[in-house]
Amino acid sequence: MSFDYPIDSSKILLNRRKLFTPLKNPKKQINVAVLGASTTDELCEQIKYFFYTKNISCRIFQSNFGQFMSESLDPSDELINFKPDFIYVHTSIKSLKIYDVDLNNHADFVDSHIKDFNMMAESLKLFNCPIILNNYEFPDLRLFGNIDRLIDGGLVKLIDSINTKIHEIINNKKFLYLNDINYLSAKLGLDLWFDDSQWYKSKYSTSISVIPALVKNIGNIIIAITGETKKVVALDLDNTLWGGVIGDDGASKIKIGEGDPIGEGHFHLQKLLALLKSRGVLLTINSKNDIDNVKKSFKSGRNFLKIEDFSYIAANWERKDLNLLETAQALNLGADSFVFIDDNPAEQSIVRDNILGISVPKLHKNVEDYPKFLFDNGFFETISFSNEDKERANIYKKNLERDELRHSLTSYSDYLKSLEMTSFVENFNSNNSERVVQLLNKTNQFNFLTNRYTYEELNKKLSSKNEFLICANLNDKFGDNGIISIVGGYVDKKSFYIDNFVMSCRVLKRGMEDFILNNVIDIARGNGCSEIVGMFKKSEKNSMVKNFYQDRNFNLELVENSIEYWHSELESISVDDNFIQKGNK
Amino acid sequence: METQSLYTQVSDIFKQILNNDNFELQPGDKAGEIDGWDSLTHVILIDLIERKFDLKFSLGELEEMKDASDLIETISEKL
Repeated sequence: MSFDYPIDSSKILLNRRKLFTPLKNPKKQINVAVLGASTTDELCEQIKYFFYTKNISCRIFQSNFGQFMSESLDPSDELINFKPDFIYVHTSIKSLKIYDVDLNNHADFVDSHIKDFNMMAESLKLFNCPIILNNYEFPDLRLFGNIDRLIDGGLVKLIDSINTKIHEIINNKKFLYLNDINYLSAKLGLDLWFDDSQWYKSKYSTSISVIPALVKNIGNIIIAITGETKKVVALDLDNTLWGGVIGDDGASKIKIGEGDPIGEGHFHLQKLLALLKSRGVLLTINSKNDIDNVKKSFKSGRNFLKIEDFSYIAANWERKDLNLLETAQALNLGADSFVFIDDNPAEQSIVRDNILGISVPKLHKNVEDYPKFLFDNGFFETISFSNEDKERANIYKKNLERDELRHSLTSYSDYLKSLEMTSFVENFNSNNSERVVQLLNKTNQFNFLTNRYTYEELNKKLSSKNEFLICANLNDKFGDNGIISIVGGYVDKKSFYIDNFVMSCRVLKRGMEDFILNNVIDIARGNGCSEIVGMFKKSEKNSMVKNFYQDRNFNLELVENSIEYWHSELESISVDDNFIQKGNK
Repeated sequence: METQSLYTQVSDIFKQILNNDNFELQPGDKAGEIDGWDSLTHVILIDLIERKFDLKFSLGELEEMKDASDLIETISEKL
């Protein structure tokens, strides 16, 4: 797709004009409001095009020229009626007007600007949607030279001071998201970023040629907020993870590590993959190789990665698309949440062509650029970093140990008993909110309605006293799985409606769903309800729960707007949850 | 480069941006008078032309360009 690394901005400028036939079957529809401090026409068109390439249909509201502040403080009816799902405020150093400021008054300028910034942010909060805000680029000229960064009156220092305060504000308000153009402009180069001839002629704050990169940066944030980022990197080995072919060259001759330029490139890639793993991205192997050779390579101690770093290993002579599907199944994750890294274009295309939604970068014989294919595509863009993320790879590893135990015991219930499971249930609160939002948005399979929420939307929904949302962790003798299930609902007269009910696939078939249902029954009883109504809406991916209520003798009484309503009297529900005890945090 | 060949190459860019396969740039053509060639599109056209021929128009040159023949002439001077 056209916004992929390496980004070709001429191609995007040309292609975005041809493709405005409406999407036939868009994944979703979003409304993005762009409030500009400068010209935003091309930016808006390309935002639409960015989502078009992701099969998302995007409507744009574009503020009148330069009206970002008045639209924030006193929004027009057009903006209000547009009902934005996201608001992006396009400010830049051009709108900051730093060259108008007396250089003896920088401190006052910073204070008053930050006051305005805060006012704008607080006012936009009323839209109850994520607000994406820029920091500022460095100026392309320095008044004093290098000490610009150090002294009062220096322009670089001025931007530093403003940005530090902006970052603090954004970090402290959950509805604000940073679009880091200070980083982006540095990455691309300030001389390329700015084009004063464009500014004087058409009031574009950047050159036309960097707009695609800017759009991609904004688009990636929105994709991350909607929870559609990747979870796994599946890796080829020969000439991908190391240089050379292990089966031909042997463990001592493959190129990996110091002393060989190609080997250093691969070694660096392995280090970066290890960092991805520590932040919660799973690594797997998908390689045409004999498993014994693969083991020999990792045993040789020359690789940075250890064989234990991989959550699943497919080293055989099967087709790679089939191997990848098998890996996805073993990990209970959708194959579309994988990125496949392989140096061989033929393997890339068999995987790309046969697995819908998977990402397969087109790297080829340029190991020095492999990291960019992995990191410059927004695959792993995230809006938060939770404790669950830190532990994820470990948790999947423990799952493989659980599998071994299961195979060694004769009956499944013996296995469940032997796990010594406990679960701690609590209400939605500020400590678990990050994980709750993440789980609601990332879960596809065990998810009854597939409703997606931003933090703000969820908070608003739960502000009514008839609304409930609880989450549960699951502990067993192998360790803590973290928060793995969420159930929500509301009381209406004598009925308790279960709307959102999700569970991480890594704890399926452990009796957790019935344990949760029992907790719901307790809440319903405590609120004087006489029946429970479970809701289900079919999606492309949630067929595993379609018979959930039927299997528990609920009756389907109504189908409205494609939502099924399954009823059961409280008295007649009997749920079995023998294997999980209530636990402490 | 020959003027005619420049017209052909620049027309290719116009064809794609104006989404009109039959478009052929004529010396007297002006922004604002051709369907789809407005001031915003002009900015994009200039950017694409600059990158295609690996050149940069100065602000002064851009201001003096009145029609397609000025554009082609300026490109030809800079090549």
